[in-house]
Amino acid sequence: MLALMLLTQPAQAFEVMEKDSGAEMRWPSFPVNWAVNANNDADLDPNTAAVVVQRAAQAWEVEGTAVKLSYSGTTDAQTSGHDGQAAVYFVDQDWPWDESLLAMTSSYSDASGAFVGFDIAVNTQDHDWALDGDPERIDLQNTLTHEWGHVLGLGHSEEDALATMHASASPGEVHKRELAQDDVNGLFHLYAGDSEVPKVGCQTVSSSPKALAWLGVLASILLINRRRARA
Amino acid sequence: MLPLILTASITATSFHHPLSLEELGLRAERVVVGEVTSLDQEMQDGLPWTVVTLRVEDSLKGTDSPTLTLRYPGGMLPDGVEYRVVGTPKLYEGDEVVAFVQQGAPVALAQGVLRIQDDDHLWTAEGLNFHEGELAPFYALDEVRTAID
Repeated sequence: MLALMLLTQPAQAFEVMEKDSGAEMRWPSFPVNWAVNANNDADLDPNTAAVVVQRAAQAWEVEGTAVKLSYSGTTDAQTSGHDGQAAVYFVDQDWPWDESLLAMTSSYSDASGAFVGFDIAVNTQDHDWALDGDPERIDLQNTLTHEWGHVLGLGHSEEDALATMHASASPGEVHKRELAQDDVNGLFHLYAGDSEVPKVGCQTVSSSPKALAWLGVLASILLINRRRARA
Repeated sequence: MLPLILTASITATSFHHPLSLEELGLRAERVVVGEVTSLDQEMQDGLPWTVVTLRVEDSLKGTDSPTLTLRYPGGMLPDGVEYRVVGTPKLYEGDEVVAFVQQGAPVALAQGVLRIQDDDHLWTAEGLNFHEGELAPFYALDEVRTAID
């Protein structure tokens, strides 16, 4: 059973963002231009941070889709707004949301579900960030790769703890920097029509972080089954 | 059969550390069981915020009152564009919820709003559908009471 779970990916765990009408939310065309305000009080070198944000975006530019997230330079933006300027920015003080949040993606969409804008805010007020996978801190690229998935219209992948679009992360985690099969499936669902979805490589299971994550999933299932048995 | 409450702890917010029931309870100034009676919106700094009014059926923590108001970002702009913050609750009139409230907002956005369920068709407060629900933790109301005692 355990071996089977370790070797088997969920058939479809990805979720797409939807309007109340049920219409799926997606960008109608590419490129999507964006800028970054990488100034921060968190000891993250702004130039390096800007490069990391770009790397996170590029993870989603998968061959076979038209996805193109084009970096247009720097901006002074420090808040979200429906202003025609898509921005990634860092919030060092007066983070407006709960302190447990690492980053927040705001989207703007029309009635059909077509995105018309977005912003990503990174919470540098309440969390320690790293650009290099420091095991004691939250990895910026890991987090932002996830947020770019939201920008493109993907929700959280609840049943695939290995996916970039899984909701939570821990210090030192970097596996979300690279898309999992489920993320690519979701991306192709939104942006590649009936094109064949490429297989994501390097899905090794022995002693990998992803294999360990599956053990966590198994533990969750067992815990839930115990809860159900008690109910 | 005890009502079940699906937590939004896995699904609810945009990339965060999931909070346990105990953590939600500790961080909340108020915890109430209530019904959504109205959804409105107001503008703040040029962006719409959703204002949810709950009819309080039971107060589990904090000062009791007949109604409670929650505010979180998101809503419709005058030009018809929807502003949405990923991870905010998705609530509808008539929803029965347990709300963990801090400074007028749900604790950790959708994590702090647990929709009460009485069947196996599970929905989180974020609006995602879990037909199977295998990985979505759920709790009985009594577990919530115990966690915040």
